[in-house]
Amino acid sequence: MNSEQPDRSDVWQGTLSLMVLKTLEVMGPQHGFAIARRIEQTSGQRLRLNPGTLYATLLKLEQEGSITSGWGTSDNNRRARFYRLTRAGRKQMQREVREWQTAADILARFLAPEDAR
Amino acid sequence: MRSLRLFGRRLLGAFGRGRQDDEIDEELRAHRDMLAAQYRKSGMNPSEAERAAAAAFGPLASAADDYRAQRGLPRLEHWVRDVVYAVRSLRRTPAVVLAMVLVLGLGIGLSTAIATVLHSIAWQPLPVPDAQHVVKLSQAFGGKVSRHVRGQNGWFSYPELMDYRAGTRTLDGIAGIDEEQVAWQTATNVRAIGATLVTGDYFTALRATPARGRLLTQSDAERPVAVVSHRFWRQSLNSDNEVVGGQLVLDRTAYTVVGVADASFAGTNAVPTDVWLPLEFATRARGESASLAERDFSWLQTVARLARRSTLEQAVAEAQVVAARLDDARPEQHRVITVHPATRLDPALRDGHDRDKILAVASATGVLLFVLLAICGSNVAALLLARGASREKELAIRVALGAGRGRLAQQLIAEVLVLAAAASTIGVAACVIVLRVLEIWLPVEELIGPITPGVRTFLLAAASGLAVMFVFGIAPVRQALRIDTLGGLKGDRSRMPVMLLRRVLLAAQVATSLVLLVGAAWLTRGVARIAAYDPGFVTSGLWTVQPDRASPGRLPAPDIAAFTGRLRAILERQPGVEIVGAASVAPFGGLATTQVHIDAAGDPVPLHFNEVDRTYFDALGVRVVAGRFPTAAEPDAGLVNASLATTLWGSEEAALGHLVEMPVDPAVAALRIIRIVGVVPALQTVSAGVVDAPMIYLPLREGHAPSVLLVRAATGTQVARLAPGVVQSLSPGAFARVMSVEDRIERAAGPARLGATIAGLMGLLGLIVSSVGIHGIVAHAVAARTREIGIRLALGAPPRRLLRAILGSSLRSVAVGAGMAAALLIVLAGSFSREFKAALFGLDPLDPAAFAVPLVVLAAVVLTAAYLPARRALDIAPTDALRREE
Repeated sequence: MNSEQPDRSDVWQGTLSLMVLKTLEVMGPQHGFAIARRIEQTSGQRLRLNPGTLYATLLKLEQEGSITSGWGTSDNNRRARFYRLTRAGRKQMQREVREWQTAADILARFLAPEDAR
Repeated sequence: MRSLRLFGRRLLGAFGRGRQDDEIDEELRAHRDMLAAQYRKSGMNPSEAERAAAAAFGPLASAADDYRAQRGLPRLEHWVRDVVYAVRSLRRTPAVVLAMVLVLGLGIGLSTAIATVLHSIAWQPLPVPDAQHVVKLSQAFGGKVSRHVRGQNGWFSYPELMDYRAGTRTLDGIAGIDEEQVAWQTATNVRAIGATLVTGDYFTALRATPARGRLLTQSDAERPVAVVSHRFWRQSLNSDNEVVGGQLVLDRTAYTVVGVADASFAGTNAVPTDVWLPLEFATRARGESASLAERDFSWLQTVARLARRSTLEQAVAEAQVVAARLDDARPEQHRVITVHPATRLDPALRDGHDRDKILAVASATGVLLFVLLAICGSNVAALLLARGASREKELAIRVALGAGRGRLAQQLIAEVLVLAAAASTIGVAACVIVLRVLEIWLPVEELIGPITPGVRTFLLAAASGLAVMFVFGIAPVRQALRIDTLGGLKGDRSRMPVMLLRRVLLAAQVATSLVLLVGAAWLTRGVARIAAYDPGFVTSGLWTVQPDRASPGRLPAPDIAAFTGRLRAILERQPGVEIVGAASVAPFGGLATTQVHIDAAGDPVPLHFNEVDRTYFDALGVRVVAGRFPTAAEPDAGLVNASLATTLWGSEEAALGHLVEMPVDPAVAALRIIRIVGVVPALQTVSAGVVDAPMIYLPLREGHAPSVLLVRAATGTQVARLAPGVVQSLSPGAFARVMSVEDRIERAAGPARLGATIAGLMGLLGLIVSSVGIHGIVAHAVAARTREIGIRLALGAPPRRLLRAILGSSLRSVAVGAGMAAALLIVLAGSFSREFKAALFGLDPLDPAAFAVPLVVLAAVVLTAAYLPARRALDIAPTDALRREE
């Protein structure tokens, strides 16, 4: 319910930031609902996003300066808040992507079958 | 950078400048609506879609909570809310809270003020750059010591100073300091001012800076130059802008003023000085060149600076090597040198004769301060306890609604902090006021120099406030958190632990009040004794006249003797003057000690001595108790006091005929052999209230001038006006210090009087605080038992007996507290009775009156405080009491 959550959601929140930034890079400016739906789709419906966590992440990214937001109108003519990537956010995202890839490579070596090494 | 920006945004959010609540709600609702729209698109009907969306989305409120938690800083916001709530809650009982905060604040203020004063004398480093590297040296002598002492044993001679200076590299210059009184002559007036004679490296070692002009340097050693203190310049020279280059006539010598010291610099000793003079020049000008050559003469204090990259330990080691070399010339003597970080206190005092008295006064003050804070604190604790008890229901409800113990504790601690902050603020204000009052009412600035309440003062006040609040506030907080949820909701009062704590607090309060009051009673009675005590001679009408040695001009010793002789002759002829005696040491004017051999055998015996003539005893009105006075024709016959006689030989008569061998002059190897021809009673001429230690009275030496003339005059004779006039008529510009012996005793009482005032104030404050506290505790306890009282009254209990029962339970705690305090005080007084007697002018601390009066006062206060609420409880109609919800 509030900040006293088990570790799992903290890990997801760190990766959630990167997922949000990537989604915004690919899709361009979007509102919260669209971002959530896209992330769930991309994960093959394996991730269910808690709205509280999502919006807290969006606000955090905005507070850090990686994204900005403003009111706009959605496809259904509904007033919604749209988020878009900033230049600093783009750089941040690229840095994190590199870090993740390095980490994934290293881990893959450990998890690969014996003969492939 | 990002995390800084993040924190900044969240901080703004905590103060209302983040995403607004309505925007958050709108955004979340939009998300849920879009989810519902998506379900509609996949075929559900609108109401089903709404329900599915609501179920999938979850409660709007919790999502909004997460959103808001990210917006601000939840922890900070909770704290702020707690503090605001605490203030509101405290405002509900304004009178009690105000009283408590005021009392604690005053207690903190008074303690901080006293601590500041003590600190500025004893611990504060000197107001110079890099003060932690400035040190003072002191020597401690053991073995067969033969030394001429003018001041403290541990001081240095001029040749020794040069040896230490030459032999140490870890010390950047060791300056010698001699404090003197000099006669300052203006066109209209001559008066004594305080001068500090210093060697050339004094100001350089201290790295002090002048406010005007320059300070003394090495090259000024043999020049008639002077530096004035800021206070002297302000008060006595009227802040004259032309002071630098002007002249001051001191001891009939003209000194050119070269600078004014900075306002914060009042010297390196406890008593601030008026002017600094070059030691070498001024000493010669006073006709005391011999002092500069004398090797075994303790007359100079020191101050030095540690060389760069040297430590205290290295300096001590180096100095000790020099000390050992100095002792080579006198194999039976050995000295130990100590190096201390410099404060305004003289390190030699540690081994001096006043040490015990100083320690007694200092520890008494410390105890009193502690006790004062303890009283205030326990009062606070009692209040918090009472508040906690009355909030049981509220706290139980909060716990039932899901508040964690942690949150509740945070809330209660916030209250404690608010009280601490309020009390500390008042404490700081009170401290400043108390310091101002001390400055105006007691001559603190003259005694001690400028006291600046600086940052340290405020920090001390804040820290004491917090410390007292925490120490005394934690128990009530813990008590309040022991919540019996069900019982609390029903309204039952958890009685047992609260009552015990309450009783303990009451006992503690009573104990501390009693200690304070007895302490104040001791000091007050001690001071009162001075007016009525008998030092063995009649003190009224007795005056000391000390012609200033330098003022008759640079006369050799026999001429000064002639001058003094003529002065005496003229004084004797003045109307009203009955007898004029002569001595080398005045009553309550200091001490001279030496080591002697009795009958040329055995170990050396330390002894006080005074060189007097027959008329000294006539002036005092003292007769021999055994033997006789020496006649004028017997230069080698002397008297001893009864202390010496009984200590060495058991009775006064047994002392007669023995020989005492004593050094005349350390420079000359000759000994003086005195035959004891008479014994006088032991008087009190050294410390008021303490009988003199073994003492020998020698006849004045031929050609040596006595330092002081003792004048017995008829009551009403204005000796203070008479004597200087006579001196001036003999030698214009000459100056004599005149003081009545009664004034000397008053002076000696100064510190005790100060202590009595402080203790009295604190005792009064403690009494007020205790009575408020006791009233509160008892009233609360009685109110809690109203129902029980009602039942008992309804059942027919006699009101008197009920009253006694209620009061009895409260008084038991009082008795326990008083008993503990009394026991503690008796043990203390018994173990340190000698020190107490010395500090209290001979008052026996176990004097019953000192205990009886405070006990009676305390009992009266307690009974009154308890009586009123009890009385009120009995006046309530039983049916009302039964109906009253507790």
